Amino acid sequence: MYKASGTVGVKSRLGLGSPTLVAGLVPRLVLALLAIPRTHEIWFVPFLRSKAAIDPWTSFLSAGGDPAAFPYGFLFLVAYQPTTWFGGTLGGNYGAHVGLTLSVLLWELMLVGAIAAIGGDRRGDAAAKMYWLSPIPIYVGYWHGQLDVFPTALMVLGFAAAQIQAWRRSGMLLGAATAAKLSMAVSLPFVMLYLLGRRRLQIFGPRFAICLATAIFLFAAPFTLFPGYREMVLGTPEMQNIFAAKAAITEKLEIYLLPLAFLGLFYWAWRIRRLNFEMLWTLVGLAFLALLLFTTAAPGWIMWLMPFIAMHVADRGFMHRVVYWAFAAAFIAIQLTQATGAHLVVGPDLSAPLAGMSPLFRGRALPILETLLLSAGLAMGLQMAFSGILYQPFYLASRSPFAIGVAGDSGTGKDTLMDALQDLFGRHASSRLSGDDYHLWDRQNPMWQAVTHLHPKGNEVDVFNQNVLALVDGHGAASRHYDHSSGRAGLVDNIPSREIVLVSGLHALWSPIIADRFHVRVFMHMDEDLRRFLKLRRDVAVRGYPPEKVLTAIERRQSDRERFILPQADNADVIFRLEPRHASAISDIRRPIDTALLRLIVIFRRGKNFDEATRLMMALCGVYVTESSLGDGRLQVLIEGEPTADDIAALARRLVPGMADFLAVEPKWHPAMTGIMQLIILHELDSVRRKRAFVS
Amino acid sequence: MIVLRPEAFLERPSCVLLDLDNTLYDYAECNKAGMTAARQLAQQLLNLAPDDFDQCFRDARTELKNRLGATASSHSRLLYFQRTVERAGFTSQPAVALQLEHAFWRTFMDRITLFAGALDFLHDLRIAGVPVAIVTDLTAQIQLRKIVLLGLDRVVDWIVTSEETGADKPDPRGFELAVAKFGGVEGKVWAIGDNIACDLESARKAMDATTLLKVTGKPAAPPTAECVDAIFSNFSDVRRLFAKLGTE
Repeated sequence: MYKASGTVGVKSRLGLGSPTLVAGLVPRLVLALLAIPRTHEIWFVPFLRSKAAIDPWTSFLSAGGDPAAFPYGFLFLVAYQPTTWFGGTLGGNYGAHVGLTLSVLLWELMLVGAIAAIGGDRRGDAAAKMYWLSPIPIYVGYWHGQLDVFPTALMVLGFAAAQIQAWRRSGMLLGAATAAKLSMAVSLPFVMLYLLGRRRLQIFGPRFAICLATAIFLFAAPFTLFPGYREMVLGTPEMQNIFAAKAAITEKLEIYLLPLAFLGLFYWAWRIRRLNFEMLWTLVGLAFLALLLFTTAAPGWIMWLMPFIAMHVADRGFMHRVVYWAFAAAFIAIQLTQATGAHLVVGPDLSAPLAGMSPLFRGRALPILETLLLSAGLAMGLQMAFSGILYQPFYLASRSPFAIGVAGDSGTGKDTLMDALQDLFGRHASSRLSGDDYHLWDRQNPMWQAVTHLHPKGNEVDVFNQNVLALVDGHGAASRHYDHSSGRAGLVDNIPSREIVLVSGLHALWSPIIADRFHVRVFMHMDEDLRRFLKLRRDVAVRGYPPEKVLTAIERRQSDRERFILPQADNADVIFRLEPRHASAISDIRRPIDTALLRLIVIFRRGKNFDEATRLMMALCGVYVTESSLGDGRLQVLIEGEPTADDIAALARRLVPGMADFLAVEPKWHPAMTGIMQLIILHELDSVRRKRAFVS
Repeated sequence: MIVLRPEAFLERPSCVLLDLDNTLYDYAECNKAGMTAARQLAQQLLNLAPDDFDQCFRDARTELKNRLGATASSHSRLLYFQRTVERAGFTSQPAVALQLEHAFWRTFMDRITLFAGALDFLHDLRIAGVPVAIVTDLTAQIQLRKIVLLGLDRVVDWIVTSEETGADKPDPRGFELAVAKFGGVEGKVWAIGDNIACDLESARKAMDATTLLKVTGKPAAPPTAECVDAIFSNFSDVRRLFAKLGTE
C-alpha cells in the first residue's frame, strides 16, 4: 500500500471516475448555490470582503469587526480571498459566498488528488472515492461552512511528497500547513521519528527540517507583528482544548486524556523505531483521531482526520464500513443539533442549531450520540492500529535485522557481492562483517606456512561467530579490519547492528551456530579456471602479490578448500557459480574479463520456485534462462545475457515490490550477473519477509 | 457496451481470436514511455536533439513501411532505430541501434499491464472450454515476450504472429492459421480487436466472425462500418455478455 507509482511527483489525477465525480459534485454545487452557511454569513464573508489592507486583521477590528470572524493567517487569505472578492464584486454577499465555496471545492479537489496519489495503484481510487462521497466533508464544507480543507490539503500534499522522497517540498508543504493551522503540527513529531528511525532516510532530516522551519517562519512569523493578527489568530481559545477531556482517577487526581493519548502514541512510535510510510500515516491519523475524540472539537476539525479515515476504510471489509458509518452518522447528527447550519436561498432558515427547534434533539439524545461517536471512534482507532501498524508486513518483518551470510573460497566474488548488496540496501542501513578481519595472524607470520587461511584453525572463528550473533540479535560488534595491502590487522572498529546485516567470509557458513541464524545463506562457487584467472588479476594487480606466490598458494590451499570451504555449499540456500561461456574470456590475465562472456549458474535449495523470476527475466529484458532439476531435486538455473542496471531495477519492481521499503532511497543496481545476484538475493529475502509476516 | 447486432450473440462462441496490442493492454502509453527512453538515450549517446530524433524516427518509419509493406519486419524497432540514426547523419551504428531498441522495449515492457477484466475474461473462456488464439502483427520474439510478461501464455491456447504468416492483418492468413491450429472450428468465431479494418473486417470476411470492437473510454455511437457487432471499453462488459450466453 501507499506507493506512489513512478517518480513524477504527486499525481494530478483525482482517482475518480466520471459517475463518482458527478455524484460528489452535484450535492456540493447544489449546496454552494442554495445554502448559505451561517459561518460564511456572519464571519468569513464580512472579513474577506473587508477593505483591502496590509494588515487586514487590525483593519477589520478597527472597523468594529467580530474578533472571531477569521481566526486564520496569511495563507488562508491567499487561499480564499481571490474568489470571494471576485464573487463579491459580481454578486454582493451572495456572490462572495459562492466564490468562497468554490475555493473550498478547489481545495477539496486538490485534497482528493493527493489522497489518490498516496493510496497509489492499489487503494488510491477507492480512498479518493471514499472521501469524495462521504457526507462528512459535504456537511463541513457546504452546510456548516468551514474552511479547514485548505490546511488539510497542504498537509496531505506534504505527505504525498514525503512518500516519493521529495523532502524539501514536503517540508515546505507541511510548514505551510502548520503556518496556516497550528493543529497541523500534530503530524510533525511523527514525521521526524520516521526520518530518524530509518537510517536510509536520515540524510533527508536536515533538508526537511530547514524547509519546514523556513515555511513556518515565512508564512507565520512576520504577521505576529500585527496586533489584530495576534488578537484574532493567536488569541483563539483552541489551545485550552488540549486539557478539555480529563478522567478522574481519585477524588483529587485527574488526568488529561489528550496529552496522555499523544504521549502514548509518540512513545509507541519511538519504540517501533523503524516506521514505513503506511505506519507513519496511521500514527498521524490516530493522533488526529485522538484530537477529535478528546477535545470539544469544532466541526471543521474532522476535516483533518478525513483523509486518514478515507484511506483506512477504502477497500476494506464490512466491519470497517459499519464502524465508519456509525461514526459519520453520530458526528453529523451531533453537529446538526449543536452547531450552526445554513439558511436556504429558497426555503426555511436552518442556520440555528436544530436542538433549539425540537425537544427530540434534547434530553438524552446528545449524550447517546456522543457515546456512539466516542465508541465508534475508539473502534476505528483500534482498527487503524491493527491494520495500519500491528498487522503491517513491514512491521512484522522488521522487528529484527535481516542477515545475509556469504561464504566461498578466496577470489570467488564475495566482496563484489557484498559491495553490490550494500549499494542496494544503502551503507546507512547495512552492517558489514568480513571474515578476513578474523585471520589469526598477520600475513608475515610464519604460522601461515603450517596452517592456511582456509583452515578454521587459522581464524578466530569463535569471535567471528559471536560478532555475527551480536549483529543478528540487534547489538553492535567490535572487529578489527584486515588491510590486504599491508597484510596486517588494524584497530578495533565498532560495527552497529542495522536493518541488514551482511556477513561474508571463508567460513561464514561453517559453524551451524551462525549458519542457522542467517536468513539467506549464499555460497559463492566459481569455475576453477575462472577463479584462478580472477584471483591472479586481483592479488597481483590490486593487492600487489607476486604471481608465482599466488599460484603456489592456490595449490597449497587445495586440500583445505575441499575439506573446509566446499562443504559449506551444503548449508546454502543459494549457490552462485560463475563460469566463462568461452575459454577466450580468461585467456589473457592482462585484460579485464568481458562480462558478456560469463554466464551464471544458480542452484537453489530443494523446494524453491523460481518460475516467476524466470519468466520475467526472459520477457522483460530478454535474458536467456534455462531451468533444470539436479539429481537430488534441487533447482538449477542457467542465466546468460547482459541485462542493464535499469533492466534489473525493472525486474525488481515487478518481482519483489514488497521489498521496496528495505532498499536504499536510490538503490544502485548493477548490470549483468552481479545485478542478477542482487535480484536473486532480494528474491530470497522477500520470501523471508513473507514468512516472518505470516508466522507473526 | 453497445451491442449493434443482438442476433450475433445468441450462442457462445466456439473459439475466440484476440488481437494483442491496444486490445489487451494500452499500447499508446507503453509506446510513449518507450519512445521517451529511446529519445533520452539518443541524446545521451549521439547528442541528438529530441525534435531531430522524432523527425528522423518518423521519416525512418515511413521509409521502412513503404519499402517492406505489411510485413512483421515493417514494425521492427531495431530497423527503425538503425535507420533513424542513419537519417540523422551518422553511418550505421549497430551498437547504438541495439541499445536504443533495448531501452525502448525494456521501458515499454516495464509499463505494460493488462486492461482491467481482460485476464478474468480469458479465465472465463478457459473454464468454459472455449479455445483462444492471439492473432497479432509484429515479430514473434517481441510479441512472445509481451505474452509471457502479461501471463497470457497460461490462459491462451494458440499464438499467431504476422512473422509466422508472412503478412500483417488485414491479410486473412493470420486468422486462417489460427483456426487451423484449433484443428478447425464448428460454430461461431468471435474476433476481438481495436482496429476495424485489420482485426474485425478481415475476420468477418475470412470466417464470418462475430466482431467486438475494443475502444478506449466510453463506447461511442455506432461506427459506420457494418462489420462491427458490438463495441466495448471494459472487459467486464464482455464477461457479462459471455456469462449471459451461457445461461440462455
